[in-house]
Amino acid sequence: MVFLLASCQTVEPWERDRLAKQDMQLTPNVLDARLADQVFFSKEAASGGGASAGGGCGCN
Amino acid sequence: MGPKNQLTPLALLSAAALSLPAFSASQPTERVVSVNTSVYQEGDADAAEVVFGDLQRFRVKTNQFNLSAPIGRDWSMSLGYDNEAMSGASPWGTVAASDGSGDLIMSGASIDDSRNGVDVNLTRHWRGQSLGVSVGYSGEHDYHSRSLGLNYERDFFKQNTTLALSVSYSSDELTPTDAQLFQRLEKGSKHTRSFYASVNQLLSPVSMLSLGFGITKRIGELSDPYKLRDVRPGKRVERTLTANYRRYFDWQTSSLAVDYRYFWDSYSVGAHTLAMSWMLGDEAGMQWGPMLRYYSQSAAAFYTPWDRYDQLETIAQSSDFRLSTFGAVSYGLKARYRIGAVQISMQYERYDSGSGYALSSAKTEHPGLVDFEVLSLGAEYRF
Repeated sequence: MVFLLASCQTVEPWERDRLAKQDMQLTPNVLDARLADQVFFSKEAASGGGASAGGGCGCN
Repeated sequence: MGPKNQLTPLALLSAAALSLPAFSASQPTERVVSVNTSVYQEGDADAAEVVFGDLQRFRVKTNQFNLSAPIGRDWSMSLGYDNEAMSGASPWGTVAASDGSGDLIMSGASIDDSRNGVDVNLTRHWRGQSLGVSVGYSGEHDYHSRSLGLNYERDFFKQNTTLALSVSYSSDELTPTDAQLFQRLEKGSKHTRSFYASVNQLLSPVSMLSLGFGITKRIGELSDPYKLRDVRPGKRVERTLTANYRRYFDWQTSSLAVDYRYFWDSYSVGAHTLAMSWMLGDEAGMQWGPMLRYYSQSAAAFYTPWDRYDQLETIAQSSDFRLSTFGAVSYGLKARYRIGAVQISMQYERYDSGSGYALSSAKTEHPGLVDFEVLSLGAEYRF
């Protein structure tokens, strides 16, 4: 992590227009992400890896 | 540089401030209302591998709503609502087949249920940090879940680095239907605690990386009460390592997203998930792109290809296909079209699973492994 941070260039606020695009976000569409989480949670043993604190379901 | 491009530093800063990326702790600047409707359809079970029950598997219709908005100068909120209506048959158990594999015992197709879920989040923003609290509820006629979460984010190094921490707790109650008729568990509960930490780092004006670690502990009734013989340990500890990479290309104004997750738990399941998507086109107009996801898991330590009635009920066992060794490939297309403040989106995804896709070898393939398709249509309004 230290090497990663050391190798990064500082990105100034006025250089962030492309980083602000919808598809550059970790969750570009919150509804698509919720749907995918629900579908995969109900069919696979692995889940998690995100910060969401949503309720469980009887599907798994 | 022509007159059209002569922007003052103040104008540049203002434009940048209006479009701050969501992975900083900054207050959002826009109100966003979004709706989505989708149909999920599983492929039928193979008649040659079913000894009892219906072949028609699950179909789920989902309607979703989300509102997110800034409140005043220092607060923001979001409200999410999901409604699902599901019907179809699901595996009840497996029996040994003559060829050494297992055959399925399916339920009837009379399973008909609905789920309603709501999540509310309220976040306070300070200069370079934010603290949010969220509450959620999800209810089905035989399952109720209540959750509470806290999220903290802090920016460092001129907002080039963001640390995100979250904790959550959920309390679930199970009241299986026809419990006395089928001698099922009549009432049970389970409790889930989660912690997740991630560091988001801007690598350049066109790329960013996020690394995360999560741990989840589940305690309580973790067996499936609808299976004929399903005995799972009452405690499960899950861990995840995640890496998310985003890269923007001026060529075709496209964006590449790569997400990887490694999952391992106290059931001895290990799983890799790699998802990639590529969107082309200007977000002010038409965008489209393919997506691809690969998944592979190893079996739980107590997984058995068919139900073992010769074992005591105190010994852990499960023939649930979701605990078997298998892999899956899913692929699809998504498209979006923006007209002013409104964006219309469409997405199709197909999921194929099998033991042959797994990184580790399986002795037999579970006959309950499922293929499915999801088609969704959505709309978003920003103001």
